[in-house]
This record gives sequence, structure tokens and C-alpha cells, in this order.
Amino acid sequence: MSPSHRSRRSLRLGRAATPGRDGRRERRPRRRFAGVVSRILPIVAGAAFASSAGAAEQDWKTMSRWRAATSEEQLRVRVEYVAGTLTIRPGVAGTLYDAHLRFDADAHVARLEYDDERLRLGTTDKENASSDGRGEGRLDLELTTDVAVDLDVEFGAGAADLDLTGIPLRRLELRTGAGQPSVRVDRSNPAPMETASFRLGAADFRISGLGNLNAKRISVAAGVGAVTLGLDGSWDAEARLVVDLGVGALTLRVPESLGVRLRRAALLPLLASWSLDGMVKRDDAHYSANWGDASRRLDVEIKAGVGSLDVEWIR
Amino acid sequence: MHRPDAPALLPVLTCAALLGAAPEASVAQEREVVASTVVVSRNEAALDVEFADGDPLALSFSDGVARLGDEVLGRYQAEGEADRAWRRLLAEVLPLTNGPLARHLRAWEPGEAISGADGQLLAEVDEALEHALLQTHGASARAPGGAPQEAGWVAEFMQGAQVEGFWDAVRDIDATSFEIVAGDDYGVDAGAVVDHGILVVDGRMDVRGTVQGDVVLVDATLAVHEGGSVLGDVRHVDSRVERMGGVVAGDVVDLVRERRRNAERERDRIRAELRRELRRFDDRPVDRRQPSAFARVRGALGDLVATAALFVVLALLAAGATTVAGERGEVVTRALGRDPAKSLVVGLAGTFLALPAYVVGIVALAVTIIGVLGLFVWIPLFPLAALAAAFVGLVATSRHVGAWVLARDYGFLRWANSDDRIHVAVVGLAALMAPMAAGKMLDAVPLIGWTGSLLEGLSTMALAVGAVAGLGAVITTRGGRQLGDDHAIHDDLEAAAWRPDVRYGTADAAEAGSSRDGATGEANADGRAVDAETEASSRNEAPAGEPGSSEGGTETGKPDAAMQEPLEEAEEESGEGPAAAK
Repeated sequence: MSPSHRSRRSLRLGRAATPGRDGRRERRPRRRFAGVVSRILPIVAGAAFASSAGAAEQDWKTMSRWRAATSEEQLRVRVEYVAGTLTIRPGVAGTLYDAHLRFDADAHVARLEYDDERLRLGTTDKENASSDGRGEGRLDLELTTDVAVDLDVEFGAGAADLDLTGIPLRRLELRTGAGQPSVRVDRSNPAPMETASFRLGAADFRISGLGNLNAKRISVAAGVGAVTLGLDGSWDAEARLVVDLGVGALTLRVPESLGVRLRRAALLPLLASWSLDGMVKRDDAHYSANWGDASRRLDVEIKAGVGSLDVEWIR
Repeated sequence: MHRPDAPALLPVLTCAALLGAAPEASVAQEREVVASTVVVSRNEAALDVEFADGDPLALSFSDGVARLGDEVLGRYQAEGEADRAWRRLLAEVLPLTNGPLARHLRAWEPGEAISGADGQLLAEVDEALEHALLQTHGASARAPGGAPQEAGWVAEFMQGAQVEGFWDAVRDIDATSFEIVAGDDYGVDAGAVVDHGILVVDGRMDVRGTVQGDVVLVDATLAVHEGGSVLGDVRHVDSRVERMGGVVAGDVVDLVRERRRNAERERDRIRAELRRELRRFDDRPVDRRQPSAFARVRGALGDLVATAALFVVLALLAAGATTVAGERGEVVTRALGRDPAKSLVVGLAGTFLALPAYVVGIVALAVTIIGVLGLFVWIPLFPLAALAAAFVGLVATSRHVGAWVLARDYGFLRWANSDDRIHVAVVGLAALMAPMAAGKMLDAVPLIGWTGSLLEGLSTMALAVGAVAGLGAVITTRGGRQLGDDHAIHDDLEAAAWRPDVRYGTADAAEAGSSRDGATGEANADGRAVDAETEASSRNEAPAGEPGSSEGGTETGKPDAAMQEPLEEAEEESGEGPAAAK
């Protein structure tokens, strides 16, 4: 493992080793319903606040787990992370996975399990949690570059930074609620992929190197938000991209060398604004100028409800 | 392959025995680490290490107790010297893996400056680390809680789970056709062909040529280099298979893992059977996930709708009961308002006595020849009658509550006719169930969700108390046929006291009577107020319309003549009161 990778890792040692350093520990829980409560049930609200005041000190817990790659033939990964910052990146050779999870044990329940080539990790909300702890937690995960990986990520809210470069992805599924997830794939996926799926709730989503996923079919479904798809990378010869956008803005960043055919199926065409500079309309589709002689071609199908579509050309 | 004869395994055992005869032949080596886990929180600092041979090392400082696996090493003080030193070590090893991790743990010295119990505990931890990280075939084995003991390789081999794996490995081989290599390395050079199987125990096998048979590894390493191939199967126990560009054409089976999988499959099968058994009693799906905010709101809305549906059903039943009960319901309502404490006590007694009465009735009917036929009526109708009585009582309670609410003249209740008994009952029922509905909504709110359950409990209790008290009123009025003996049934003011259009809760009836219409009230013998004017008007001026019609009582306190008539009828029936006197 290179020093640069390892230097990111750190361990918060809790109260015993770093007394008084964590100023956030005194943070009190939010009182979202104070107004309503003060009108309806002031006495009850007072009792509730008093009961939660004792739990104002958060119990930060750190779990780090590393495993070497031995005789595994694949790794199936499922990440369920409700809130905080999530990073996924390639690990060093010889590592199967390297996970570092920091969470508020008062508010969340963590899972970090490995068995029979399956890795399940993440956090879920604890019932009747006495504190929130969202946004300050972290999950940093490094995945093997040695064996094929099926990656299934379910992300609640917060920031997610996924660098999938070099991870032999055989399957990819990303589901998010809200937040700012971003994905980058700088080199071609060493494993062939049938389908990559992105299901986005209300998120600002950005991906670069979509073509490097080496997937035959990529589907992006977004409810509300801004979606930026970087179509750079080495596309499979028969690749197809399907985008289903409810309300929001879609930006396609298209390499000039890539031949693109764009079909649109707006549910409410009058409410969707299309800016397709540099593309030529023919029949029921828009074509890039180099469609006829491009070495790599991509079929894009877009279903948009309300919002805008912009095409940006990149060199 | 065929199953071996016992003599066929002799060479293997002989080799093993030879190795075991020289326990210190293999010196201590650093063990290979394949996984590590560090957990640190306010109360816990733990290190788990898994070695290549599957052995675990678990050291934890948790809640004041330091443990090596399940063995207690000692106690420590939170934030004390031992706790701090251990946490410092975990921070140092966090970025490390495999070799560097093992070396750092081995090299760790707790420090001579730490003395006393903390120093002793850390020395124990240090010793445990040293032992675990250097444990090899020739090394000493540590007895739990005791001093290290010398043990041979075979003894150690035969003690652990390895022996089972060993038998799995050699079970199907023909030892006479296998070349057996124990405690030594073995190589197949490039271009060379081995036409038989090979069993390697505690050694390394490098293949650059071709092995046509099977390879069995016990605590060994097989490296198939580029250009090398193994055409048969590879079965291994506590061993490693490294494909370094070479090919293994057959199956690679980790027998330990296979054994674990089989055990897990067996456990899963048992669990599945248990689940199937449990489903016979409970088909409800078990969802242990934490509900999201959306799920909580959705659940609360569902509960709210269910509560509303319950209210609609009860309101319809209340309307029906009010209509069917007619004037008997009036009498019950009035009796409840006059002496709620007595009604409650009687209702409680009736509730507790209902079951014995039911049973006694069944027995009494059963022992008589004619009564046996009555059983067919008694058994189904008694519970129904009891429930109906309780519900009529609940309606009576609801009418009092409704009258109280309507007397507050809330704008959103303008639609309700305060002279309409059904309206009043429905409003009262709504008031009794309102906390339940509010509770359902509060269930969706974090932190104060418990107050929802509190409100629901209060609402349910109010309904229950109302029903019991109402039942008591039903009993004391003998099903609404008469008011109690000690009640002055000619008291119009009391008849009006529970009316929604009259100021509610007047403690002094005489004062209330005079304040409403200016008439002079006078008290009768038992202290109740009698308003002669209202009594007269009730008899002479009220229309003979539907009882309880809006033509009756008004805000001026005029009594409801329609309401009074049935009272008088009831009084006449009982032979009491002024009506009877007339």
C-alpha cells in the first residue's frame, strides 16, 4: 500500500486518548418541532427535552477492517449508508477491501460483515436515537483491483465521492436519496459489465468517464436535481445510455470524437428546454456531426419531464 | 480415486510423527495476517486479527475489562495508563497491514514507566501478542490462563480442528499412488511431468512443469508459476494456492471453508425449519429495519385513518343507540350526570360481577329441566346485552362530554345542533377520541413520539371509564326505566344541567336557576333547587314534539318540556315524585 493511500487513514480515539479535543461532542440535538410542541404540549415537550439532554454527548465509534486478497474469485459488495460522507476508491494490490467507518453510536447502527466473498457494510438509523450525528460520520472504502467486484451502493444523504478507477466492476448499482454524489472512472474497467444503474432521488449527481465503465447498457433515473454525465471514456461498441429525468437539469458532456445519436421522449415536451448545439436533427433523432465516421458511437435515449437539457462538447 | 486402506495412510502419519518428534525443528516465524479489525469507541478499544491459517486473535479493552478472546486478562481504568497505551497502539497499527502490522505488534513495548496493575496488564497483552504472532508448528502452545507449555507438532496438529481437515484431505486418496512430502519443499521444474498425485504437509510446492494427478495440501503453499499446470484437483487445508500465471485445470477446494459452508448450510436448513414452524403461529413478516421518517409518517397516517374509521363506526352505533334507547337513554344520561361517582362504582361492580353472573346463570339454567332451553338464549344474549348496556352507557357519557364541549361555543362546531341528542353524542365521542387521533400523529414525531402513546392510553382509558360509568347508570336506572330512589326526578334544573345550551357545571343549582332567567330559585328539602317557573313552563308551554327538540331549553335556562315528559312518565311508573303525587 502506498504511503499516499495510507496517509488518509486516521483514528479518533474517543475520550480516553483525546480528552477535550472533539468540540462537537457538546452539540445538542435539534429541536425541529419546538414550535408545535410549545403550543400543544409544553409540559410534555419539556419532559422530552430533559430526557434527551442527558444524551447530548455523542458516542463516536470507529471501525476499521482490512482483509487481504487470498483465493477469492469475486467480491460482492453492498453498501448501505444513511448519511455522512462516503468515499469509495481502488485499494492497493493484495487488498481485498479496506474499510474505515466512523459514526455516532448513539444515532446509528453499523454493519461491517464479510463472509463467503460477500462484504456488507454501512450504517442505519437507530430507533429513538438521542442524537443525530449526520454529516459528521464517514465511510471510506477501498476495494480490490484483483478480482471481479459487484458493487451495490445505497446512499441516503450527504456527500459521496466514488472513484471507481481500476476496480474490476462486473455490476454497478448506485441508489441515492439526496445529496451530492459524484463518480469518476478514469480508466477503462478491466472487467466487462452488462449493466450499470444509477437511481437518484433528489440529488446533484456528476459522473465523469462514463464510457470507461465498459458497460453495454447504462441507465440513469433521476427524480429531482441536476445531473451531469461525462460521456468520455472508451465506450463498448454496442453501448446504450438511457436517461430518465423527472424534474431538473441534465447536462451531457460529450467528447468531440464520440459519435452520438440522441433520441428524446419528453413526457411534457413544452416544459422541457433542449439546447442541442452542434447536433443535427434527422428524422426523430439528433446526431452529432461525426456520427457517420466516428470510431465509437453511443445511442442515448432521454425521457425528460420538466427541465432542461444541455450538450457540452469536450476535447 | 478410491477410499484408502488404513495402511495406506501410514506413510503420512509416519511423516507427521517424525516431524512431531522434533518439536523445535522449525523455529518461530512471523505468522501471516490476512485480516484485521480495529474498533474504537468511548468504552471500547479492540483489535481482531485473522491469520492465514484461520486462527483469530482478539484483544479488547471494553467497559473496564481487558480480554484475550473470552479470557479475562485483567481490569483497567478508563482513561488510565493502560487504556491510553492500548489506544495509542491501535492508532499506530491502523494504517498497517499484514507484515508491517505483525511486526509492529510484535515490536510493541508497553513501556517500563507504567507500573502496578496497569503495567502488569500491559505485560500480559504484550505476551499475548508475542505468542500469537510467533506461534508456529514448533513453538510452544499456551494453555488458557497458564504458563506456556511445550508441545510437539503432532500434538498441536491433532488437538485442533486441523485434524478434521486433515482427514478430509486424505480421505479419498490412495496413499500408494501419492508421493508424500512432509516438512519439506517440493518443486516441479519447467518441462517436467509428474504423473501421480502429491500430498504436501507443512511445505511449499512450486510447479513450473506439469502435474497430471491431484495435489493435496495440508498447512502448505502451492505456487503454480507461469507455464506450469496442475491437471488434477487441488484440495487444501490451512494452505494457500498462488496462481502465478500458471493453470489449475481441476477444482480448487478449500476443505476448511467447505466444511464451514456445509455447517452453515446445515444451520441455515435448521433455521429455515424453525422459521417454517414459527410461521404456523405467526405469519406476520418481521421487519427489523429502522423505520424511515417517511415510513413513520405513512404509518401514522394509516393509524389516523383507522382511528377515523373506528370513530365513524362508533358514531353510527351511537346514533342508532340514541334513537333506539329513546327516553330510557335520557334517564340513563340524567342519572349519570346526577351522580357520576355512584355510577362509576356500580359500573365497576357490574363489570367484575358480569362474568360470575354469566356463569351462575348458565349453571342455574343447566340444573333445571326447563331452564336448559333457556341456555340457548342466555349464552349468546347475556354478553350481547352486557355490551349493549356498556355502549349505551358510553353514549350517555359522550352526551355529557359533548354538552360540555358545545357549551364552549367553538366556531368549528357551529354545525352541531346542541339540541340534537345525536349531534351532542357524536361531538362527545369525538372529544373522547381526539387525544387518540392526536397520539397517532405524534407517533410520527421523533423524540416526543412516546407522548403519542400516552395520549392514546389516556383516550382509551377515558372511553373505558365512560363506558363503565355509563354501565353503572344503566344498572342504577334499571335499564333506563327509573331514576334512583334517592333522586328527585322532578328537578328540571338537573335535567337542564347536562344540556349543551345551558351553562355547564353549576355547582349550585339554585344559583344557576336564578342566574339564567332571573327567577327566584328555592331549595327543596334535600337541598336541590326547584325552579317553579321553569317547571310550569315545561309543562304548559313546551310543544309535544320529539323529545329533546330544539324547541325546548334555551340559553335562558328554560327547561326542555319534551325532555321532561318522559321523566314524568317514568316517575309515574315508579310511583314517585311530584307527578305521582298529583
